[in-house]
Amino acid sequence: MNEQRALALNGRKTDVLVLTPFVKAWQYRELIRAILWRELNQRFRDSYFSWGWAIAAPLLMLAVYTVVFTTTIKISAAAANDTTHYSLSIFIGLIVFNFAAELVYRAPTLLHEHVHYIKKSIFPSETLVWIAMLRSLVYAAISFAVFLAFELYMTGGIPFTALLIPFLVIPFCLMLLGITWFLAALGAFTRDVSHLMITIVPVLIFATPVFYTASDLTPTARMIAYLNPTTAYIEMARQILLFGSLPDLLTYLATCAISLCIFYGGYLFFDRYRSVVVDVI
Amino acid sequence: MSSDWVVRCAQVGKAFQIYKNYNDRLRQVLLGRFKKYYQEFWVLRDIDLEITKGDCLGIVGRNGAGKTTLLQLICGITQPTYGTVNTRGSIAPVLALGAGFDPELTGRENVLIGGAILGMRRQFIIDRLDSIANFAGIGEFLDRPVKFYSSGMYSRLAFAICAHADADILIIDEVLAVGDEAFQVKCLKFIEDYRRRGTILFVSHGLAEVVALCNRAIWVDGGHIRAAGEPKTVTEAYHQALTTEKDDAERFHIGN
Repeated sequence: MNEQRALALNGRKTDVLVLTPFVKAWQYRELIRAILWRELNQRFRDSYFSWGWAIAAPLLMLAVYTVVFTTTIKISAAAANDTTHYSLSIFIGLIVFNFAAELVYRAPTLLHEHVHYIKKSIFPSETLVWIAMLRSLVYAAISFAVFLAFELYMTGGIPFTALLIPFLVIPFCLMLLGITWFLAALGAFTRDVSHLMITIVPVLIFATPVFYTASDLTPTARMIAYLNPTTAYIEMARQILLFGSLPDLLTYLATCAISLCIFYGGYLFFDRYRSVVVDVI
Repeated sequence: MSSDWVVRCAQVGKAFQIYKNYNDRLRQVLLGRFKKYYQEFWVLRDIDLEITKGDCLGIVGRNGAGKTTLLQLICGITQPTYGTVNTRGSIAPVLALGAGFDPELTGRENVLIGGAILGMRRQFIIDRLDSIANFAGIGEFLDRPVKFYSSGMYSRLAFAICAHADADILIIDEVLAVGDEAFQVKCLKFIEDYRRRGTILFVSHGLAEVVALCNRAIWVDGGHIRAAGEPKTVTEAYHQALTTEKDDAERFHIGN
Protein backbone atom coordinates (compact mmCIF):
# COMPACT_ATOMS: atom_id res chain seq x y z
CA MET A 1 0.00 0.00 0.00
CA ASN A 2 2.57 2.52 1.11
CA GLU A 3 4.94 1.92 -1.73
CA GLN A 4 2.26 2.60 -4.25
CA ARG A 5 1.24 5.74 -2.44
CA ALA A 6 4.80 6.95 -2.12
CA LEU A 7 5.18 6.65 -5.87
CA ALA A 8 2.17 8.79 -6.40
CA LEU A 9 3.86 11.57 -4.42
CA ASN A 10 6.44 12.16 -7.09
CA GLY A 11 4.65 11.55 -10.29
CA ARG A 12 1.33 13.13 -11.03
CA LYS A 13 0.57 12.27 -14.61
CA THR A 14 -0.06 15.25 -16.79
CA ASP A 15 -0.15 15.63 -20.51
CA VAL A 16 2.07 18.44 -21.66
CA LEU A 17 1.61 19.26 -25.29
CA VAL A 18 3.72 21.58 -27.37
CA LEU A 19 1.33 24.47 -26.92
CA THR A 20 0.45 23.84 -23.28
CA PRO A 21 2.71 26.51 -21.75
CA PHE A 22 1.38 29.16 -24.13
CA VAL A 23 -2.25 28.15 -23.85
CA LYS A 24 -2.03 28.36 -20.08
CA ALA A 25 -0.29 31.72 -20.14
CA TRP A 26 -3.03 33.04 -22.42
CA GLN A 27 -5.70 31.57 -20.21
CA TYR A 28 -4.30 33.43 -17.19
CA ARG A 29 -3.48 36.65 -19.04
CA GLU A 30 -5.70 38.76 -16.79
CA LEU A 31 -3.92 37.46 -13.72
CA ILE A 32 -0.50 37.97 -15.28
CA ARG A 33 -1.44 41.51 -16.22
CA ALA A 34 -2.80 42.33 -12.76
CA ILE A 35 0.29 41.13 -10.88
CA LEU A 36 2.78 42.48 -13.43
CA TRP A 37 1.19 45.91 -13.38
CA ARG A 38 1.22 45.95 -9.59
CA GLU A 39 4.90 44.91 -9.43
CA LEU A 40 6.02 47.51 -11.94
CA ASN A 41 4.07 50.19 -10.13
CA GLN A 42 5.36 49.18 -6.75
CA ARG A 43 8.99 49.33 -7.75
CA PHE A 44 8.79 52.99 -8.61
CA ARG A 45 5.87 54.15 -6.54
CA ASP A 46 7.72 55.40 -3.51
CA SER A 47 10.64 57.02 -5.25
CA TYR A 48 11.04 60.61 -6.31
CA PHE A 49 12.55 60.11 -9.75
CA SER A 50 10.49 57.00 -10.39
CA TRP A 51 11.25 55.72 -13.91
CA GLY A 52 14.31 57.96 -14.13
CA TRP A 53 16.20 55.38 -12.08
CA ALA A 54 15.54 52.73 -14.68
CA ILE A 55 17.27 54.95 -17.23
CA ALA A 56 20.02 56.27 -14.97
CA ALA A 57 21.17 52.85 -13.78
CA PRO A 58 22.25 51.45 -17.17
CA LEU A 59 23.83 54.76 -18.19
CA LEU A 60 25.94 54.98 -15.07
CA MET A 61 27.00 51.39 -15.40
CA LEU A 62 27.93 51.93 -19.03
CA ALA A 63 29.96 55.05 -18.24
CA VAL A 64 31.97 53.32 -15.52
CA TYR A 65 32.67 50.19 -17.54
CA THR A 66 33.62 52.13 -20.65
CA VAL A 67 36.08 54.30 -18.78
CA VAL A 68 37.63 51.37 -16.95
CA PHE A 69 37.93 49.09 -19.94
CA THR A 70 39.23 51.66 -22.42
CA THR A 71 41.74 53.42 -20.19
CA THR A 72 43.16 51.10 -17.57
CA ILE A 73 42.30 47.50 -18.41
CA LYS A 74 42.31 46.63 -22.08
CA ILE A 75 40.73 43.23 -22.50
CA SER A 76 39.37 43.58 -25.99
CA ALA A 77 41.16 44.33 -29.22
CA ALA A 78 38.24 46.53 -30.23
CA ALA A 79 38.74 48.76 -27.21
CA ALA A 80 42.04 50.06 -28.51
CA ASN A 81 40.93 51.70 -31.73
CA ASP A 82 37.26 52.63 -31.45
CA THR A 83 35.97 53.69 -28.06
CA THR A 84 32.46 54.52 -29.22
CA HIS A 85 31.94 51.21 -30.87
CA TYR A 86 33.42 49.42 -27.93
CA SER A 87 31.17 51.10 -25.38
CA LEU A 88 28.10 50.35 -27.49
CA SER A 89 29.28 46.78 -27.73
CA ILE A 90 29.58 46.58 -23.92
CA PHE A 91 26.15 48.14 -23.62
CA ILE A 92 24.55 45.34 -25.62
CA GLY A 93 26.41 42.75 -23.59
CA LEU A 94 25.26 44.32 -20.34
CA ILE A 95 21.61 44.55 -21.36
CA VAL A 96 21.46 40.91 -22.37
CA PHE A 97 23.48 39.71 -19.39
CA ASN A 98 21.58 41.76 -16.82
CA PHE A 99 18.27 40.58 -18.21
CA ALA A 100 19.33 36.99 -17.68
CA ALA A 101 21.11 37.62 -14.39
CA GLU A 102 18.15 39.36 -12.77
CA LEU A 103 15.92 36.39 -13.53
CA VAL A 104 18.46 33.83 -12.45
CA TYR A 105 18.99 35.62 -9.13
CA ARG A 106 15.30 35.82 -8.49
CA ALA A 107 14.18 32.41 -9.73
CA PRO A 108 15.14 30.25 -6.72
CA THR A 109 13.16 32.43 -4.30
CA LEU A 110 10.31 33.20 -6.67
CA LEU A 111 7.91 30.65 -5.20
CA HIS A 112 8.90 31.53 -1.64
CA GLU A 113 8.15 35.18 -2.34
CA HIS A 114 4.63 34.35 -3.47
CA VAL A 115 3.82 31.64 -0.99
CA HIS A 116 0.71 33.52 0.13
CA TYR A 117 -0.77 33.05 -3.34
CA ILE A 118 0.32 29.49 -3.86
CA LYS A 119 -0.90 28.09 -0.56
CA LYS A 120 -3.93 30.19 0.13
CA SER A 121 -5.65 30.44 -3.20
CA ILE A 122 -6.20 28.46 -6.36
CA PHE A 123 -3.18 29.90 -8.07
CA PRO A 124 -1.42 28.75 -11.24
CA SER A 125 2.14 28.93 -9.91
CA GLU A 126 3.74 28.73 -13.35
CA THR A 127 2.44 32.19 -14.19
CA LEU A 128 4.83 33.65 -11.61
CA VAL A 129 7.66 32.77 -13.97
CA TRP A 130 5.95 34.56 -16.87
CA ILE A 131 5.42 37.58 -14.66
CA ALA A 132 9.06 37.63 -13.53
CA MET A 133 10.26 37.32 -17.12
CA LEU A 134 7.97 40.08 -18.40
CA ARG A 135 9.02 42.35 -15.57
CA SER A 136 12.70 41.90 -16.40
CA LEU A 137 11.84 42.34 -20.06
CA VAL A 138 10.37 45.75 -19.32
CA TYR A 139 13.58 46.87 -17.61
CA ALA A 140 15.63 45.45 -20.45
CA ALA A 141 13.42 47.35 -22.91
CA ILE A 142 14.08 50.60 -21.05
CA SER A 143 17.81 49.97 -21.23
CA PHE A 144 17.42 49.09 -24.89
CA ALA A 145 15.66 52.37 -25.63
CA VAL A 146 18.52 54.18 -23.92
CA PHE A 147 20.95 52.18 -26.03
CA LEU A 148 19.21 53.13 -29.28
CA ALA A 149 19.20 56.82 -28.33
CA PHE A 150 22.86 56.54 -27.41
CA GLU A 151 23.77 54.81 -30.65
CA LEU A 152 21.90 57.38 -32.71
CA TYR A 153 23.66 60.19 -30.91
CA MET A 154 27.16 58.70 -31.08
CA THR A 155 27.20 57.23 -34.56
CA GLY A 156 24.45 59.20 -36.26
CA GLY A 157 22.44 56.18 -37.32
CA ILE A 158 21.04 52.79 -36.45
CA PRO A 159 21.44 49.94 -38.95
CA PHE A 160 18.08 48.82 -40.28
CA THR A 161 18.91 45.22 -39.35
CA ALA A 162 18.04 46.39 -35.82
CA LEU A 163 14.43 45.80 -36.85
CA LEU A 164 15.17 42.09 -36.60
CA ILE A 165 15.61 42.30 -32.83
CA PRO A 166 12.31 40.51 -32.03
CA PHE A 167 13.73 37.42 -33.69
CA LEU A 168 16.41 37.39 -31.02
CA VAL A 169 14.27 38.57 -28.11
CA ILE A 170 11.58 35.90 -28.45
CA PRO A 171 13.79 32.80 -28.35
CA PHE A 172 15.92 34.42 -25.66
CA CYS A 173 12.84 35.01 -23.51
CA LEU A 174 11.72 31.42 -24.03
CA MET A 175 15.12 30.18 -22.94
CA LEU A 176 14.99 32.36 -19.82
CA LEU A 177 11.50 31.08 -19.01
CA GLY A 178 12.81 27.53 -19.13
CA ILE A 179 15.76 28.33 -16.89
CA THR A 180 13.54 30.20 -14.45
CA TRP A 181 10.97 27.38 -14.25
CA PHE A 182 13.75 24.93 -13.51
CA LEU A 183 15.46 27.07 -10.87
CA ALA A 184 12.17 28.08 -9.27
CA ALA A 185 11.08 24.48 -8.77
CA LEU A 186 14.50 23.44 -7.53
CA GLY A 187 14.73 26.49 -5.29
CA ALA A 188 11.48 25.57 -3.60
CA PHE A 189 13.13 22.48 -2.20
CA THR A 190 16.42 23.93 -1.10
CA ARG A 191 17.77 27.37 -0.38
CA ASP A 192 21.17 26.30 -1.63
CA VAL A 193 20.16 27.07 -5.20
CA SER A 194 19.76 30.70 -4.28
CA HIS A 195 23.21 30.86 -2.68
CA LEU A 196 24.71 29.06 -5.64
CA MET A 197 23.31 31.66 -8.05
CA ILE A 198 24.55 34.56 -5.95
CA THR A 199 27.98 32.93 -6.07
CA ILE A 200 28.27 32.05 -9.74
CA VAL A 201 26.46 34.86 -11.56
CA PRO A 202 29.07 37.57 -10.83
CA VAL A 203 31.70 35.16 -12.16
CA LEU A 204 29.66 34.38 -15.24
CA ILE A 205 29.79 37.99 -16.38
CA PHE A 206 33.45 37.38 -17.23
CA ALA A 207 32.76 33.98 -18.76
CA THR A 208 30.30 35.68 -21.10
CA PRO A 209 31.55 38.05 -23.80
CA VAL A 210 30.20 41.20 -22.19
CA PHE A 211 33.39 43.25 -21.98
CA TYR A 212 35.06 41.49 -24.87
CA THR A 213 33.81 39.83 -28.02
CA ALA A 214 33.97 36.17 -28.96
CA SER A 215 36.51 37.08 -31.66
CA ASP A 216 38.98 38.13 -28.94
CA LEU A 217 39.14 34.54 -27.78
CA THR A 218 41.32 31.70 -28.94
CA PRO A 219 39.35 29.11 -30.99
CA THR A 220 39.20 26.67 -28.06
CA ALA A 221 38.06 29.32 -25.60
CA ARG A 222 35.48 30.46 -28.14
CA MET A 223 34.02 26.95 -28.29
CA ILE A 224 33.68 26.94 -24.52
CA ALA A 225 32.15 30.43 -24.51
CA TYR A 226 29.50 29.29 -26.97
CA LEU A 227 28.44 26.53 -24.58
CA ASN A 228 26.83 29.40 -22.70
CA PRO A 229 23.78 30.17 -24.84
CA THR A 230 23.85 33.82 -23.77
CA THR A 231 27.10 34.20 -25.72
CA ALA A 232 25.40 33.52 -29.02
CA TYR A 233 22.64 35.99 -28.26
CA ILE A 234 25.05 38.76 -27.34
CA GLU A 235 27.13 38.19 -30.45
CA MET A 236 24.10 38.07 -32.74
CA ALA A 237 22.64 41.19 -31.13
CA ARG A 238 25.92 43.01 -31.78
CA GLN A 239 25.84 41.98 -35.41
CA ILE A 240 22.36 43.29 -36.11
CA LEU A 241 22.48 46.34 -33.84
CA LEU A 242 26.01 47.58 -34.42
CA PHE A 243 27.40 46.20 -37.64
CA GLY A 244 24.25 45.97 -39.70
CA SER A 245 25.08 42.42 -40.71
CA LEU A 246 23.00 39.27 -40.50
CA PRO A 247 24.01 36.49 -38.12
CA ASP A 248 25.06 33.16 -39.50
CA LEU A 249 21.83 31.26 -40.18
CA LEU A 250 23.16 27.98 -38.80
CA THR A 251 24.22 29.62 -35.53
CA TYR A 252 20.83 31.28 -35.29
CA LEU A 253 18.85 28.10 -35.87
CA ALA A 254 21.04 26.10 -33.49
CA THR A 255 20.57 28.76 -30.82
CA CYS A 256 16.81 28.74 -31.29
CA ALA A 257 16.73 24.96 -31.08
CA ILE A 258 18.73 24.94 -27.85
CA SER A 259 16.51 27.68 -26.43
CA LEU A 260 13.37 25.72 -27.20
CA CYS A 261 14.84 22.62 -25.57
CA ILE A 262 15.62 24.64 -22.44
CA PHE A 263 12.12 26.14 -22.52
CA TYR A 264 10.32 22.80 -22.66
CA GLY A 265 12.81 21.08 -20.37
CA GLY A 266 12.27 23.73 -17.70
CA TYR A 267 8.52 23.63 -18.11
CA LEU A 268 8.36 19.84 -17.84
CA PHE A 269 10.53 19.91 -14.74
CA PHE A 270 8.33 22.54 -13.14
CA ASP A 271 5.18 20.70 -14.15
CA ARG A 272 6.47 17.48 -12.66
CA TYR A 273 7.10 19.03 -9.26
CA ARG A 274 4.37 21.62 -9.18
CA SER A 275 2.10 19.56 -6.93
CA VAL A 276 4.88 18.65 -4.52
CA VAL A 277 6.17 22.20 -4.32
CA VAL A 278 2.98 23.39 -2.61
CA ASP A 279 3.55 20.97 0.24
CA VAL A 280 7.21 21.65 0.90
CA ILE A 281 7.41 25.40 0.49
CA MET B 1 -24.82 7.95 -6.23
CA SER B 2 -26.57 10.85 -7.84
CA SER B 3 -25.56 12.33 -11.15
CA ASP B 4 -25.60 16.01 -10.19
CA TRP B 5 -22.54 15.91 -7.98
CA VAL B 6 -20.24 18.93 -7.91
CA VAL B 7 -17.49 17.54 -5.69
CA ARG B 8 -16.53 13.92 -5.56
CA CYS B 9 -13.70 12.44 -3.51
CA ALA B 10 -13.06 8.75 -4.05
CA GLN B 11 -10.80 6.95 -1.57
CA VAL B 12 -8.67 10.04 -1.05
CA GLY B 13 -5.60 10.07 1.12
CA LYS B 14 -3.03 12.77 1.70
CA ALA B 15 0.38 12.52 3.29
CA PHE B 16 2.70 15.45 3.70
CA GLN B 17 6.38 14.89 3.23
CA ILE B 18 8.25 15.74 6.39
CA TYR B 19 11.95 16.42 5.86
CA LYS B 20 14.51 16.51 8.60
CA ASN B 21 16.48 19.21 6.82
CA TYR B 22 16.81 21.08 3.57
CA ASN B 23 19.47 18.73 2.20
CA ASP B 24 17.04 15.85 2.24
CA ARG B 25 14.65 17.89 0.13
CA LEU B 26 17.29 18.41 -2.52
CA ARG B 27 18.21 14.73 -2.40
CA GLN B 28 14.56 13.83 -2.85
CA VAL B 29 14.34 15.92 -5.99
CA LEU B 30 17.53 14.59 -7.50
CA LEU B 31 17.51 10.98 -6.26
CA GLY B 32 13.87 10.56 -5.29
CA ARG B 33 13.27 7.74 -7.68
CA PHE B 34 15.79 5.50 -5.91
CA LYS B 35 15.17 6.23 -2.25
CA LYS B 36 12.74 8.04 0.00
CA TYR B 37 14.26 10.88 2.00
CA TYR B 38 11.22 11.98 3.93
CA GLN B 39 8.80 10.74 6.52
CA GLU B 40 5.13 10.76 5.84
CA PHE B 41 2.59 12.54 7.92
CA TRP B 42 -0.81 11.19 7.04
CA VAL B 43 -3.36 13.95 7.28
CA LEU B 44 -6.22 12.24 5.51
CA ARG B 45 -6.92 8.61 4.71
CA ASP B 46 -9.64 6.92 2.74
CA ILE B 47 -11.99 9.85 2.43
CA ASP B 48 -15.14 9.19 0.42
CA LEU B 49 -17.31 12.19 -0.08
CA GLU B 50 -19.87 13.31 -2.59
CA ILE B 51 -21.44 16.73 -2.56
CA THR B 52 -24.40 17.47 -4.77
CA LYS B 53 -25.44 20.78 -6.25
CA GLY B 54 -27.17 23.04 -3.75
CA ASP B 55 -25.72 21.29 -0.73
CA CYS B 56 -24.44 23.21 2.22
CA LEU B 57 -21.98 20.88 3.85
CA GLY B 58 -20.76 21.64 7.36
CA ILE B 59 -17.35 20.27 8.31
CA VAL B 60 -16.45 20.00 11.97
CA GLY B 61 -13.46 18.55 13.73
CA ARG B 62 -10.61 19.37 16.04
CA ASN B 63 -7.44 21.28 15.15
CA GLY B 64 -5.21 19.18 12.95
CA ALA B 65 -7.99 16.78 12.06
CA GLY B 66 -7.48 17.45 8.34
CA LYS B 67 -10.35 19.84 7.59
CA THR B 68 -8.26 22.48 5.86
CA THR B 69 -6.29 19.87 3.93
CA LEU B 70 -9.55 18.37 2.72
CA LEU B 71 -10.63 21.78 1.46
CA GLN B 72 -7.24 22.34 -0.18
CA LEU B 73 -7.60 19.04 -1.99
CA ILE B 74 -11.04 19.97 -3.21
CA CYS B 75 -9.72 23.32 -4.41
CA GLY B 76 -6.87 21.59 -6.20
CA ILE B 77 -4.26 23.63 -4.31
CA THR B 78 -2.57 20.40 -3.29
CA GLN B 79 -2.81 16.98 -4.91
CA PRO B 80 -3.98 13.82 -3.16
CA THR B 81 -1.39 11.17 -2.40
CA TYR B 82 -3.82 8.53 -3.57
CA GLY B 83 -7.40 8.52 -4.75
CA THR B 84 -9.09 11.07 -6.93
CA VAL B 85 -10.81 14.37 -6.39
CA ASN B 86 -13.17 15.68 -9.05
CA THR B 87 -15.02 18.95 -9.09
CA ARG B 88 -17.46 20.61 -11.47
CA GLY B 89 -17.70 24.34 -11.72
CA SER B 90 -15.67 27.26 -10.42
CA ILE B 91 -14.54 27.44 -6.82
CA ALA B 92 -14.09 30.50 -4.62
CA PRO B 93 -12.16 29.62 -1.47
CA VAL B 94 -12.08 31.78 1.64
CA LEU B 95 -9.38 29.84 3.42
CA ALA B 96 -8.42 30.41 7.03
CA LEU B 97 -6.78 33.80 7.42
CA GLY B 98 -5.41 33.93 3.96
CA ALA B 99 -7.30 34.22 0.75
CA GLY B 100 -3.91 34.83 -0.79
CA PHE B 101 -3.35 38.41 0.20
CA ASP B 102 -0.02 40.08 -0.35
CA PRO B 103 0.65 41.82 2.98
CA GLU B 104 2.54 44.67 1.32
CA LEU B 105 -0.34 45.67 -0.93
CA THR B 106 -3.36 47.72 -0.05
CA GLY B 107 -6.75 46.14 0.31
CA ARG B 108 -7.83 47.62 -3.00
CA GLU B 109 -4.83 46.20 -4.89
CA ASN B 110 -5.44 42.84 -3.25
CA VAL B 111 -9.02 42.94 -4.41
CA LEU B 112 -7.85 43.45 -7.99
CA ILE B 113 -5.33 40.61 -7.81
CA GLY B 114 -7.53 38.34 -5.70
CA GLY B 115 -10.32 38.86 -8.20
CA ALA B 116 -8.01 37.99 -11.08
CA ILE B 117 -6.97 34.81 -9.26
CA LEU B 118 -10.64 33.89 -9.00
CA GLY B 119 -10.90 34.40 -12.74
CA MET B 120 -12.67 37.75 -12.81
CA ARG B 121 -11.88 40.22 -15.55
CA ARG B 122 -10.37 43.53 -14.54
CA GLN B 123 -13.30 45.64 -15.64
CA PHE B 124 -15.70 43.28 -13.90
CA ILE B 125 -13.85 43.78 -10.60
CA ILE B 126 -13.61 47.52 -11.01
CA ASP B 127 -17.34 47.68 -11.60
CA ARG B 128 -17.94 45.84 -8.37
CA LEU B 129 -15.32 47.56 -6.22
CA ASP B 130 -17.88 49.71 -4.43
CA SER B 131 -20.05 46.75 -3.71
CA ILE B 132 -17.07 44.78 -2.42
CA ALA B 133 -15.93 47.69 -0.26
CA ASN B 134 -19.43 48.01 1.07
CA PHE B 135 -19.69 44.36 1.94
CA ALA B 136 -16.29 44.34 3.64
CA GLY B 137 -17.13 47.51 5.54
CA ILE B 138 -13.55 48.35 6.48
CA GLY B 139 -13.71 52.00 5.47
CA GLU B 140 -10.45 53.78 4.74
CA PHE B 141 -8.45 50.70 5.57
CA LEU B 142 -9.21 49.54 2.05
CA ASP B 143 -6.38 51.81 0.92
CA ARG B 144 -3.93 50.73 3.61
CA PRO B 145 -1.52 47.80 3.24
CA VAL B 146 -3.08 44.54 4.33
CA LYS B 147 -0.28 43.96 6.86
CA PHE B 148 -1.88 46.62 9.07
CA TYR B 149 -5.21 44.82 9.12
CA SER B 150 -6.68 43.11 12.13
CA SER B 151 -7.66 39.49 11.59
CA GLY B 152 -11.29 40.61 11.48
CA MET B 153 -10.65 43.10 8.67
CA TYR B 154 -8.70 40.45 6.85
CA SER B 155 -11.51 37.96 6.75
CA ARG B 156 -14.05 40.67 5.98
CA LEU B 157 -12.19 41.58 2.83
CA ALA B 158 -11.51 37.97 1.90
CA PHE B 159 -15.14 37.07 2.24
CA ALA B 160 -16.26 40.15 0.34
CA ILE B 161 -14.14 39.23 -2.71
CA CYS B 162 -15.35 35.66 -2.83
CA ALA B 163 -18.94 36.74 -2.32
CA HIS B 164 -18.67 38.71 -5.56
CA ALA B 165 -16.98 36.01 -7.62
CA ASP B 166 -20.17 34.31 -8.84
CA ALA B 167 -18.51 30.95 -8.24
CA ASP B 168 -20.39 27.67 -8.32
CA ILE B 169 -18.81 26.42 -5.13
CA LEU B 170 -18.03 28.59 -2.13
CA ILE B 171 -15.56 27.28 0.40
CA ILE B 172 -15.48 28.96 3.78
CA ASP B 173 -12.82 27.93 6.26
CA GLU B 174 -13.22 29.31 9.76
CA VAL B 175 -13.32 32.87 8.55
CA LEU B 176 -16.48 33.82 10.31
CA ALA B 177 -15.04 33.06 13.73
CA VAL B 178 -12.83 36.16 13.70
CA GLY B 179 -15.52 38.53 12.43
CA ASP B 180 -17.74 40.42 14.85
CA GLU B 181 -21.40 39.66 15.17
CA ALA B 182 -22.54 42.32 12.75
CA PHE B 183 -20.32 40.84 10.07
CA GLN B 184 -21.33 37.30 10.92
CA VAL B 185 -24.97 38.22 10.46
CA LYS B 186 -24.16 39.75 7.08
CA CYS B 187 -22.26 36.64 6.01
CA LEU B 188 -24.88 34.23 7.24
CA LYS B 189 -27.50 36.14 5.32
CA PHE B 190 -25.33 35.99 2.24
CA ILE B 191 -24.80 32.26 2.65
CA GLU B 192 -28.52 31.67 2.93
CA ASP B 193 -29.12 33.58 -0.30
CA TYR B 194 -26.22 31.89 -2.01
CA ARG B 195 -27.54 28.43 -1.24
CA ARG B 196 -30.21 28.92 -3.84
CA ARG B 197 -27.67 29.19 -6.66
CA GLY B 198 -24.56 27.41 -5.46
CA THR B 199 -22.93 24.85 -3.26
CA ILE B 200 -21.21 25.64 0.00
CA LEU B 201 -18.54 23.91 2.04
CA PHE B 202 -18.44 25.40 5.46
CA VAL B 203 -15.81 24.68 8.11
CA SER B 204 -16.65 26.05 11.49
CA HIS B 205 -16.11 25.60 15.18
CA GLY B 206 -19.43 27.31 15.76
CA LEU B 207 -21.65 24.25 15.97
CA ALA B 208 -24.82 26.31 16.17
CA GLU B 209 -24.02 27.92 12.80
CA VAL B 210 -23.48 24.53 11.24
CA VAL B 211 -26.83 23.32 12.47
CA ALA B 212 -28.56 26.50 11.37
CA LEU B 213 -27.07 26.72 7.88
CA CYS B 214 -26.16 23.29 6.65
CA ASN B 215 -28.26 20.45 5.36
CA ARG B 216 -25.45 17.94 5.81
CA ALA B 217 -22.42 17.70 8.02
CA ILE B 218 -19.32 15.60 8.36
CA TRP B 219 -17.05 15.20 11.34
CA VAL B 220 -13.41 14.78 10.41
CA ASP B 221 -11.31 13.15 13.09
CA GLY B 222 -7.74 11.92 12.75
CA GLY B 223 -7.91 12.04 8.98
CA HIS B 224 -11.06 9.97 8.71
CA ILE B 225 -14.69 10.90 8.37
CA ARG B 226 -15.94 9.77 11.75
CA ALA B 227 -19.55 10.70 11.28
CA ALA B 228 -21.70 12.02 8.48
CA GLY B 229 -25.32 12.91 8.11
CA GLU B 230 -27.78 15.30 9.73
CA PRO B 231 -25.97 18.38 11.07
CA LYS B 232 -27.68 18.08 14.44
CA THR B 233 -26.70 14.45 15.00
CA VAL B 234 -23.11 14.97 13.79
CA THR B 235 -22.44 18.08 15.83
CA GLU B 236 -23.92 16.51 18.94
CA ALA B 237 -21.72 13.45 18.58
CA TYR B 238 -18.73 15.72 18.02
CA HIS B 239 -19.59 17.85 21.01
CA GLN B 240 -20.00 14.75 23.13
CA ALA B 241 -16.56 13.51 22.10
CA LEU B 242 -14.97 16.86 22.85
CA THR B 243 -16.01 16.61 26.46
CA THR B 244 -15.02 12.98 26.97
CA GLU B 245 -11.86 12.54 24.90
CA LYS B 246 -8.64 14.03 26.18
CA ASP B 247 -6.72 16.72 24.36
CA ASP B 248 -3.47 14.87 23.81
CA ALA B 249 -0.65 15.36 21.32
CA GLU B 250 -0.87 11.79 19.99
CA ARG B 251 -2.81 12.88 16.97
CA PHE B 252 0.11 14.94 15.68
CA HIS B 253 2.27 11.82 15.39
CA ILE B 254 4.54 11.72 12.32
CA GLY B 255 5.16 8.43 10.53
CA ASN B 256 3.03 5.40 9.97
